[in-house]
Amino acid sequence: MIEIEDRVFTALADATRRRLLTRLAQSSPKTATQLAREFPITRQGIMKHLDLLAHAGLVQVQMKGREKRYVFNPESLQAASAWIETIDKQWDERLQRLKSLVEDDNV
Amino acid sequence: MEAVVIERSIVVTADRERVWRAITTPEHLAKWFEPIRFERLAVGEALTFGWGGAGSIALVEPMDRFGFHWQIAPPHPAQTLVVFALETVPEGTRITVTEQGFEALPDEVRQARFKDNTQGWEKELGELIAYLQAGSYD
Repeated sequence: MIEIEDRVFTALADATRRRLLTRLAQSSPKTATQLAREFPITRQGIMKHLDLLAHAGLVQVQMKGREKRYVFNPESLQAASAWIETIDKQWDERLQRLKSLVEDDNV
Repeated sequence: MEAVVIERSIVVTADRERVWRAITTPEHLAKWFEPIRFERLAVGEALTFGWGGAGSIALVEPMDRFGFHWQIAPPHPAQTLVVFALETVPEGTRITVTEQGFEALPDEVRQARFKDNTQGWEKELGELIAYLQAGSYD
């Protein structure tokens, strides 16, 4: 359960990458050069972050001529989202059982 | 560093004493949660779970909060912290459970995930995912 989403979680553990991804979710495709204008880091720094996001499948790379364009890939979030939902759901079920117990039984 | 990952709550029509007993005695825990064995309700007390996992009591504040560590992914030894907090509300008692410490994962994963020492990113991650999946950015 944990291993599957490692790369997604690793990619999202960094605040800059989260902002980059949010920016791409708002508007993509974008090139590293375009993103470097919007963020206070160098194009090289942007590239490193984009590589990690691409490795996790969070963004996809499109080639246009010699330039790479990055596109947000929402499908990649499903596994991480499912992981969180699973834990949420387990607790909801337990709390529901606890509610039945304290409301109905002699505790 | 502790990053809140999961937070769920429920309101029950029962007083705090009753809820407190339900969340802190092995007899009741077995009915709604898991079979958990322990001798004393005291911080540091070892816990043994029915499925063989291990843990320990982390927090005992009578009628207010009860917390314990338990293995997140046995047989891996990594543990998360679960805390139940009780609050009196007009209808009875609000029970809020948080589970955190998912950073207690294998080193290579944890280092990559937490090198920027961002607090609360996992909660933020949940919000980010919800936001991104809601499609409101279109």
